[in-house]
Parts: sequence; C-alpha cells; structure tokens
Amino acid sequence: MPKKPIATCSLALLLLLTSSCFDVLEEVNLNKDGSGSMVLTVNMSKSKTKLASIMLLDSVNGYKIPSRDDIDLALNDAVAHLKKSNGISNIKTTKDFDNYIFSISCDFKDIESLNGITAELISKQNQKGKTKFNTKNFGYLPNSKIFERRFTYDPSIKKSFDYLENENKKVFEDAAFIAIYRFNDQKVQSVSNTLSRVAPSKKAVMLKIDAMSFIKGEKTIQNTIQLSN
Amino acid sequence: MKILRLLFICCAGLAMHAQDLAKKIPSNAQVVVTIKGENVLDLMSLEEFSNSKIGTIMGDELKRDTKGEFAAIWDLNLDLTKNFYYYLETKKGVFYNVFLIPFTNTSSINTLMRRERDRIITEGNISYLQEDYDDVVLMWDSTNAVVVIPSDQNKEPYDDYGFYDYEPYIPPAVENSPTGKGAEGVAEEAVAPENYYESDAYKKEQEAREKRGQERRAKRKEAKRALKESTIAYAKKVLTETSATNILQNPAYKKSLGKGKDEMMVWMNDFSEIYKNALPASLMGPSNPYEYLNLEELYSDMAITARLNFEKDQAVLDLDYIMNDLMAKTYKPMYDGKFNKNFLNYFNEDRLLGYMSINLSTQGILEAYPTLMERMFSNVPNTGDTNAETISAAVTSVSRLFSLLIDEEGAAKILRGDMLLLLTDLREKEVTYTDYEYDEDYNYKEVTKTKTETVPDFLFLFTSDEVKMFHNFMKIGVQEGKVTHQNGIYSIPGSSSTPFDIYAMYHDNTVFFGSSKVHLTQIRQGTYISKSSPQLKKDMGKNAMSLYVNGKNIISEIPTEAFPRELQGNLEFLTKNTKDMRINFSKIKGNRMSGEMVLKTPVEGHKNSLQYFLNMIEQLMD
Repeated sequence: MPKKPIATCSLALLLLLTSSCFDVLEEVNLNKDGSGSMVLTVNMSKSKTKLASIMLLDSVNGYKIPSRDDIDLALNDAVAHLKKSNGISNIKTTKDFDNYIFSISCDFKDIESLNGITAELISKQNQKGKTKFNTKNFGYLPNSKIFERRFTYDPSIKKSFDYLENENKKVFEDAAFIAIYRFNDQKVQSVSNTLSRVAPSKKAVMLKIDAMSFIKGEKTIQNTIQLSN
Repeated sequence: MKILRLLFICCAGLAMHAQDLAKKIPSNAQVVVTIKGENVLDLMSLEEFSNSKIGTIMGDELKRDTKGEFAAIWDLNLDLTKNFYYYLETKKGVFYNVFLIPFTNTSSINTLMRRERDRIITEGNISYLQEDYDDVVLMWDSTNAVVVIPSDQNKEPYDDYGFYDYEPYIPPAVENSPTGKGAEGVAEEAVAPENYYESDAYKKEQEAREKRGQERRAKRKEAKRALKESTIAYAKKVLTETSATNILQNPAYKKSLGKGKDEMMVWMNDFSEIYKNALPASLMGPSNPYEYLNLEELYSDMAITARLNFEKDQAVLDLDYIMNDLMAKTYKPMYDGKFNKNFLNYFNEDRLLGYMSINLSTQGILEAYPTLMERMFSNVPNTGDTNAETISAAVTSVSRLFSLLIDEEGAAKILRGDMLLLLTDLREKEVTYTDYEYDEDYNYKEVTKTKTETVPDFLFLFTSDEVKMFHNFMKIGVQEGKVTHQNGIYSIPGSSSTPFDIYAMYHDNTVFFGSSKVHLTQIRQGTYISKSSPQLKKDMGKNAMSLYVNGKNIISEIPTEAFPRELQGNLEFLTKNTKDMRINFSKIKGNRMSGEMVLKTPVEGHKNSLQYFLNMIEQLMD
C-alpha cells in the first residue's frame, strides 16, 4: 500500500517520466609504502526526483524499496564489517538523503588489508554462484612499482542483467563507474587500460566506463599502472 | 501440460452459438463463462486468426505436437456452431472447474494426445485420460469433450508437502544436577543428544512418530484416490447425462443472458456458497473468523454478470452487480453522493491526461457502517459458540458506540464524500543535481548542475464546508515553518520525501491540493478557462466512481527517451493507435450497481476492436 495514496497516480507517471542514472566512484590514494585510503561513493543525484517518488512507494517492479532506516542499517553493517577487517582504520560514512549521495571511506595499512575487506564476500559469491571473480581486487608491488586494479569478467554479470525486467534494465542505461587512483610520492609511467587517462601531473589515473559496456564485458576496469619515483 | 494447452487453444480458437452444451451445466453452478464463437467469428474469421501471428504460433505448436499431422487450428475439428463453456460447481468442499468443448469429430483428440495414447481408457463410446499429478480429466465422446479440474478445499494446508509429517525434536527435561554444579554445569550435562538418540525412549517415540506418519500418508492416499474416482465419475455424468434441472432453468442466469450479442459472458452467482467452500473451517482452524460472519445474509442472491463486446471502434466490458434487498438498502446511502458541479470549472479537457472521480456520501457511510457490522455478526448469538458471541457483542457494541459518539452530519461537513483527482498536464521542470568537477590531479569538488525533467501536474479537490478547520491546519504548518502563505494560497515546498511542490487553497466550498501554483491562482482569480464535454460531465456527475485516461495525450507528451528502448521504435504506432479509456460505476438503482469499461480503438487500419488487439500484439511482438 503506497504511503501517500493521493499522489500515487501522479507518482506512477513520474516514475515513467524521470530518468534513473547513477555513478559509482572508487577512489584509492596510495602511499609509496603500500598504505593509503579508499573512498567508495554512490551518487544517485541525477535520479533524485525519481528516487524521491520511489521512496514514497513500498515497492516498484516487484522490488521492495528500502526506507531511510534500511539504508542507515546497510551502511552501519558495512561499517561494522570494516571494523572487523584487519588493517582498516578511520572509517567514515556520509549520507545525503536530499541528493541521494552515499559514501564510505577508510584508511588501510597495506594492499592486503584493502583486499581483505571483500575477499571473503567474493569468495562466498564465487562458491554460491560458481563465478570466477578475483578475490583480491588490488595488487601493489613496491619493488617493481606496479599497482594493479584486477578484474576478471564473468558471464554471470550479463546473465543476472538479462534476468531483470526491461523496466529495471533502464536503470543501468546511463550509469557509470569511475575509478580514480592517486599516488603520493610516485609518478605514473604507463597504464595498461587504454580507456584510462593519466593526470598531467602524472600523479593520478582516472577511468570512466559506462555500466552497460561493463555489464556486457565490452569494457573492463582491469588496469596495470607502472609507477616510477 | 497438454490438456491445459488444448483448453487454451480451444478458448482462444473460438466457437459458436446454440445452447446445447449449456444443458449440461447444473442449475446450481456458481460461475459460468460463455465464449460465443459465432459472434467472435463475425469479427474475425478462423482463417484470419490462423494467419495472424498468434494463430501461426498456435499452428506451429500443433504441428510440432502432432508431428505434422495438424497444420492449423481448424484441424482440431472444433464445432464452430456451438458455444464453449466453463463453469464452476462446488460439492462438499471440492471445486469442480469444468470446460465444455464441442467438436465436429473428436478423432482429432487422439492425434493431439499421441504421446498419451497408452494412457487413454475407452469405455463404450467414451474415452478419457487422467493426469496423475493433479487429477485433471479429459473425457470425450464422438462430438463433445469435457475437461474437469478438481480442487479439494478440504485438504490440510501444506498437505502436499508432508509438512505435518515433520515433528520437531524436543529434548527430555533435565532435572537439577545432584552434583551441585552451577547453571553452566547443568547446561553441559543436558546437551548429550547422542545418548538420547540411542535410548529406548527415543526409539519408542520414533516408532510412534513413524506410525502416525504412515497413517497420515495412508489417509492422504485414500483421499487422493477418492478424488480421482469422483472426478472421473463427475466427468462421465457431465458428458453422458443431460440434467433436467440445468442452468437454463436458473432464473438469475436466464435474466443475465441479455440479447446474446456479446462475444464473451461471465456470470457469477451465490457468493456465500463460494466463500463457504473456499474457506472451510478446516483450512482456517478453530478460530476461523469467517465462521462468525453472516455470509449468507451478506452475499445470498448476489450475482455478477460481465459481458465483453468487441465493437467497431471500442471494446466494452459491461458489469452488473445484483445484490440482495438487505445489502442494497445498506449500501444505497453510501454510494448516494452529490457531485460538486463547480469541479467542472477547474480543468480543461483538451489538456487532461486523466482523472478519477469519486462521489460517495460520508454521512451515508457513517450511518450505514454500524448497521452493516451488526448484520455481519447477526447470526452469531445462535451458534452457541461463546467465543464467537463475545466477538459479536464486542464488535456491535463498538460500532454502536462509534455511531452514538460521532456526528455524521457534522463529519460530512468536513468531507462531503465527493472528490476528484486530475492529472492536468505534463510540464518541464528544471531540477538540480550534484556532479563533480576534476582538477589536473583528478581531485574533485562537488558542483550543482541543472537539467530539465518532465513531471505531471495534478490537482486534487474535495468538497468541504469547514473553511475554518482548513485554515487552522494550514496555520499550524505556517507556524512550524513548513508552509508559506501568500494571496490565499499555501505553499508546501518539495523535499527529499516529496517530489512535488504542493499548493493548497480553499475556494468555493472546495479544498484544493495541486502541483501548479499558476493553475490555483487562475482558479482563485476566476480567470481559468475550463472545458468539459457533455460525456465527461455525465460520467463525473452521474456515477459513484468514474475514471478516465487519455492514452493519446499521455503517449504523445511523454518524451521518447522515457520509454523502454524496445518500445521506442513503435512510438509512432502507439501514438496513432492509443485512444481513451473510461471506467464508470453507477450509483445503486434498485438492487443493481452497473459498471462499464470502454476502451476506444481507432478505426483506421483495424477492421474492429478485436482485430485492433491482435494487431497491437503483433506490432509489439516485432
């Protein structure tokens, strides 16, 4: 039952009319010794009219709409998980329900600590879904001065997408993944992913790919970055 | 399942007039559906249907199933001079769903059921086939076929899954420890399931459990066998006998037949019997609330008739709801609302995307509600069930108290009962969003950007004499800083939880809530130019409920990119071929409430509204 029945008719039309796109932003700031900080941001601001309408409903296209409390709980769960992870500190979250921007950030002692956050979750997913995702998303070899963003495409991504109703697929049509890697005290010499751009100062790399290309496996976020002093 | 697929093909594949198979329907059937093939074929020939995309798909299915022996639907030998029927009869808690299918020659069934040939049983001039899983029976003689789908409502819930076979393990009680250990020690000693599983006590319990399980399984097996046999017997009776007291002798059914020009008719009778059988006490348990309700008094002598007509430029679904005298008397004042004619001055039909109008009587509802509650529980005092009698006394006392405390006439001054929701327009609105700007090192800062979105404008109105109460409510909002007030219009700004800016005002005994300040200002100043057709005035003014959707306006105003990509290529077709839809429910006249749903269809490119639907499906299938 909609929470505000009077506006339901208008909302139904509004859902059809307004756009639904979002950006996922992954930032890693890496120190020479392998420590650093990470920020993961989901920015749904471009869809805020639609989201505000959706939040007034209980479910859309058969999916339950999370309430503010649900979102708070999910972020708290994520923080609790990070707190339990080895080598992770300074955990912070930001929530902007007016613009629908949510982020979570932390400091990591070394790359293994960063990988440890998701390794178990990915491993369980691989077992459950018979997928072959990398359990270690990042790699850093201080001696060779190589930083890696690892990713192996698995056809299950496309299969899961195909399983969605057409209306739900629309959500991904204008979505994007943005990765920014910043290096303190080191400079970027080369990048393997031709879609990535190196900052003029050679201190950062940015990669932006659209969600549809990522889902179809046409573009990858895999990147090997050769660094130098 | 093949039998059900045959049914689908038969129902979709059409058939004809004459009442002969109707004589096989018992007079006490609760639901009867008739497909009048002759009327359907007047709209579309079997050849036209077979050549359509859906017809071709069905033909291909038949070809595959019969290994090429059938090429198209007509090979099924359906008798296109008779009606097809479905009816529902309830007997001792078993729902019999029955389909009656006329054939010119049933030899085609043998071809269709080639894989099941070994399972077909022939007795004299009848043959039949029964599915093991759901007991469905297909039975035929030389010219007619009957499909019986039984549904036993007496089964315990989860019965099929053996839920009640499971009995949870309850560990034996543990006495206080003689060793004087603390609570921890006791817990340690209590957890020794391996010893318990080997004990004689456990073995005994296990044996008893298994015995009970076996008894339950045997009982279920016996019930299933009985249902199988009774379903076959039922099908035989329907196929071979013609009952003297058939549905054509049922006065309520005869009354509903009308002129017989419809393509399809659905008739439902005696709701109380359906409710009683659908919710037997065994299903709901000892506290079955439906046992307390006087369903007989509420639903006896009730019937619903629905008639579907595909006309040249519209598809019409007519509904007739006949209720008993008591219900009609109770409901009539509830639906006897007055329409505020001023509402017609607040919109322009040319721009209108849709509306929903409700004309109820708040006073009528408040006065009728306690009576309705009393009636619903009126048979309980005679049941001897003390629990039910307590509930009955409580419900009727509370409703009586409610009736005494509330001033029905006063409440109707706040909300008379007539209300109207209008979708008046689609307009472009500038909205802001947060994006990022990056410097040379890809550090970023948040920036606010703008974009335009198409949003609908709505207006919600209801009649109220309580001007003071409205302004007082709004004043609270103003004092709380949530609402602003200017020139008689209150503004409630949109927030993250409300996607619209909402404006409210009181004008001419009407409360307004809308998304367009301009619209409300014009109404207030008397400069708004309204327009409404006689049809719309009649629909809104005369009916208890009326709904209208202007499909053409909506489709033409929605931006192309808002449609799913696969539909974007068909937008021109959709714009050209989408028209209006109207749904109306009348006030109660006598014992009848009538409803009508009309979907207008374009004439150009479509022979009639039935062909319009097939053309639409074909276009969207591409």
